[in-house]
Amino acid sequence: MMNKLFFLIAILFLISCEKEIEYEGEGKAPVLVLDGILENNSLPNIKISRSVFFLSNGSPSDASISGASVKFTNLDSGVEYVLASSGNGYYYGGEIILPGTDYRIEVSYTGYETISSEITTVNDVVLSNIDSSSVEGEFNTTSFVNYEFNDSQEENFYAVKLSVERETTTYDGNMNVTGVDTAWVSEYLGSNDPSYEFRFGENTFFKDFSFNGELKIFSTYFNDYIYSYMGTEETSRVIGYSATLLNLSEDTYKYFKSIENNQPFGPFSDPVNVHTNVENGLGIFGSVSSSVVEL
Amino acid sequence: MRINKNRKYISKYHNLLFFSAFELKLAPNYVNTTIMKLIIPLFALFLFSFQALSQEKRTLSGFITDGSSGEKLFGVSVFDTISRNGAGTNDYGFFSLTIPNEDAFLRISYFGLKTKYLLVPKGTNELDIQLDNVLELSEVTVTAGATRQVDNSGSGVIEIQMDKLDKLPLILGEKDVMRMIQLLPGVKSGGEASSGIYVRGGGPDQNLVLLDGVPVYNTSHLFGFFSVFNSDAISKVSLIKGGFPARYGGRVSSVLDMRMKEGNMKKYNAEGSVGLISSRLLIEGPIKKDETSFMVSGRRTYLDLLIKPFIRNQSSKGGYFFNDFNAKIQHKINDKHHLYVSGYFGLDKATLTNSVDAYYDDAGTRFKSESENNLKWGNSIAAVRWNYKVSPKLFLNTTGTFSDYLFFIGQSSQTEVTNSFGDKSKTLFRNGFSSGIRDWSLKSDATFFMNPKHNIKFGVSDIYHTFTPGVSQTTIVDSTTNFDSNSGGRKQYSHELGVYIEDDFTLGSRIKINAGYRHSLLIIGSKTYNNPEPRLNFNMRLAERTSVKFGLSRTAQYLHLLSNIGIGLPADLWVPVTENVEPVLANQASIGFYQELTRNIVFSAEGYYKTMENLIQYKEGADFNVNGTNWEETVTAGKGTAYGAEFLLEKKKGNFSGWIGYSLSWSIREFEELNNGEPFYHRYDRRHDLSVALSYDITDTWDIGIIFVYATGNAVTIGSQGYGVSNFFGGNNFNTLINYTSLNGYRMPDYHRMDIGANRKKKKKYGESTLSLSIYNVYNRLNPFFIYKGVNQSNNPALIGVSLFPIIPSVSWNFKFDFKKIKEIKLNSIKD
Repeated sequence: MMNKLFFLIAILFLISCEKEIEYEGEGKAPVLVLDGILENNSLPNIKISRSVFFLSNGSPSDASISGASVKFTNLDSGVEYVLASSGNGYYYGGEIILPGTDYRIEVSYTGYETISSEITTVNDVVLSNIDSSSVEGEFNTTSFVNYEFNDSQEENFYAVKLSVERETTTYDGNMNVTGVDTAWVSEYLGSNDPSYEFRFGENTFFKDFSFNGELKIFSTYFNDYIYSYMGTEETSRVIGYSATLLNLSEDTYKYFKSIENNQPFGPFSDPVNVHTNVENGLGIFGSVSSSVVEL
Repeated sequence: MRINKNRKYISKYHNLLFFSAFELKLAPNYVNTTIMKLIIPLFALFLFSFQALSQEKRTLSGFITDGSSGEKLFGVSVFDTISRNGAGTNDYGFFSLTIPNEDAFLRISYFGLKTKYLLVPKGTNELDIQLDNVLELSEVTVTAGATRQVDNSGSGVIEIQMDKLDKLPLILGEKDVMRMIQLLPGVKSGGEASSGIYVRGGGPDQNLVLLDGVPVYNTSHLFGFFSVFNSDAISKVSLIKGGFPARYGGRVSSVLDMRMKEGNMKKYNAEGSVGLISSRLLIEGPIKKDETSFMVSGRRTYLDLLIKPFIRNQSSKGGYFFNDFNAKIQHKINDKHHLYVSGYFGLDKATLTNSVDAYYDDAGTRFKSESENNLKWGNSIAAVRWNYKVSPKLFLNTTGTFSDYLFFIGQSSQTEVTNSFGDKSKTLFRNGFSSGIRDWSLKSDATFFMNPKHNIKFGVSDIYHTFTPGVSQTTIVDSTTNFDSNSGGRKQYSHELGVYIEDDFTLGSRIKINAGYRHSLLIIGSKTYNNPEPRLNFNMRLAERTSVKFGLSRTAQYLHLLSNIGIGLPADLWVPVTENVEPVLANQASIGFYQELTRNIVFSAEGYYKTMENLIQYKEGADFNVNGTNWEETVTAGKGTAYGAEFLLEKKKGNFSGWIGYSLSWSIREFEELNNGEPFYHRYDRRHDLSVALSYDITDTWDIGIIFVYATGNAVTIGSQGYGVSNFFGGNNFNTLINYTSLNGYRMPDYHRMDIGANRKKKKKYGESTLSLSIYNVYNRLNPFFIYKGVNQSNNPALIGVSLFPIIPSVSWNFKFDFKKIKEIKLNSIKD
């Protein structure tokens, strides 16, 4: 009897109750979402979609909008374009994007509030050189790649990415070669550079706060491991590099950086909204210039 | 009315009143009563004024104690009805009253004790007074001590009568002073499971919680369900919400000053309680009658013991408990010197152990492992206090204190592997995270009772802080490795110094002022901060029962509590002000209106406006991190503003008593690095907060109590829209983005709850027995503690609220043993 009583008391104390709560806040209505990062010396290619109320069953992946009116204006020249839909929510056309130029975009779609945004495109920054070195360890080889460029006087935000061509050789247990293969792979780069900020996918982001207007050599590294399996061994050798330096607008940089904290880090941390410069909507209207060096 | 009193008084004590060369012959048959009404007071006033200027003075001083226990009484009014001068006892029961050097007729009054009148002849200057005949009070009372609320100069000062806590409904049979404080206007709770308090828009770290003058850093047990204060051991609680006197420093929102019982100087008593989850016991008595006394008190939960029978898995064991231990000794060295030693030790501990033995895998290997997970936190505090009556006008209190708060979470495992050949290898792994704060302090406070119109306090203090803001330690030992590492915040040390002076003085008969200045100083490393902290409290009596008060204060705080959602989790980090993190500075202005509607019913309304600078909060995305990140890298600084109005209607006496409190308030934060630099509501911003606490004595044995609380829901951040990530960098590989409301831009549902309780009190031969029945959350309101995105019964996405406490009935038995009575019963039975 006492055991039953204690059990009931323990259950009473430990029980917690759940109850559905009606969402009573604002912001239930979906808005237009702009994915419009302009790349210098290319035609605009942007995507329009809509958001989905977070308590609905819909998915943002099914939310592309193809019938929107997308006006794209070169504010410096005053020329306005209407971008053409290419399906799946993508729109293209207009003019080749020029560095240091002001652009405006305005998107309208029935049932949604019109969204708009303005930017000044970034200037081109040239990646002048890359060099590499490697250190062989017992189980892996660490490759170091340095990117050399001249930073301009204004505040800049950068990203680098690296594709590597490898020759992979497979040996049997007696060290006889059984196969040779080559492939380009985007590397997941690490960096000990003091200006390093964060990574997004295979892109490594950094700022010029410590080298503004100077010659910069940004360093990264990646590892190649020796794989052994069932008596065979696989080694790889880097035979080519394709390095890209991206100069990003501040909004673009903030957009990707804020994605990192969009989902709460821990149970007690507050979530963070992703940066947006789109009025009445979500997403990003950004600018990027890229410079590629192959080795 | 007054003239009648005077006449009666004069006729009885005319020799006392007319001590000058004049003698008034009362001749009622010849003197018109109306004229008498005018003449006598004017004449008396002239007479007293004349004497005040011309005659020599004397100073009466001494201690006032409760006659039944010998405990010193704070806030007792000592009033000379002849010279019409008065004084109050200080925190240590000492009073000093300067009056003309003639006979005095004192009226000594204290709420709850019978008023005493005392003729003090000329030449007697030192007197210790006992107030006897404790009146049976049967009401829940929040009061401004013995002095009337309309009288004292401080606004936002509330004193709580501890013995009235018994009248309110309990939760799980535990009476908790912090939960009672949460029912006061201007004080908010962190939520259902929180015993922390949030005063006038401030954080939980901004309350200076003092137990016998020692700061208590963590005030909660069981993750906030209960406070660490064992109510049996507490004799006095006062809360200051604004207009802090200069003697208090170090925090910017409130001062919660608690005193432990000193121990009965007259006789041995025991009291305690047996509840559903814990029991308490307190024993007090004289070591040497009227000279030395002691008090010890303990409390322990038995959740771990209750759960034990239900754990079937023999390889795993676990449990949780908390305990408290309070002790105090007071010793009267002589009439001038009193010594007090007190301590508090509290611990929460949760453990989970697991052992695996004699397990063989296919290769014939034996594994033997033992692991233990520990979570514990607790406070240890101690104080040595020396009261020295330097002269009848000068009282000195010197205190040395120690306070230590430690939090630890960790795991350890030991694995032994024996292969088929009998070779053994052992691996030891230990990983732990600890944080804490330790203080040593020395302070000296003096009170100079210059004259009845000026009461000057001054003092100096030094606190030596040692902060351990999150240290991770990992140890791995095996046949090839001996790894031991420490990472995270290094220990930081600082000296916090303060010096103050304040004067309580009266201007005329209507104005009372408390003006003070505090200068605080913090030395940490090579950095020194110093801040002037002026204080001013002003009370103007508009009528006999009406007053208005103003308060202005500037306060500085040299430590921060790093907390994500501020519910007072034990894992919150106490961190110091550093070269990069500046002290919190607050300015507060308050205005109050106080009206005694009757002698028994008091209404007060207060408004306040407070600004706070250099508040810190975790940066976006940062969190409590056991991986040893330096805390300074994870925080950002901002400012806060709080304003509002508080109303309190209180009935003090009678069978039906209690109070209704309501506050209308705003609390706003602004951080450059949070919420895009836009202002946002503090999580505990509550527009409306209503508390009702009432009790009714049905008979001498039965009483009932009721609590009702209503509060606007907490401000939280939740999602609103989902959308896709840019695919510029291959974003299709990443999760959907969520657009949230602005920071704390969503309101949780309003909180409301009603509790009822009943007590059946019985006088027993041995003392007293009380059976308490309570129902918490009587209409089973499911107030959400937190909300999250889940699915409803139809399997559709929905907001789900998780509430902690449904309706909870509880019962507890409280007892009081009077050993003197027991002895008498024994003696009588022997005689019979």
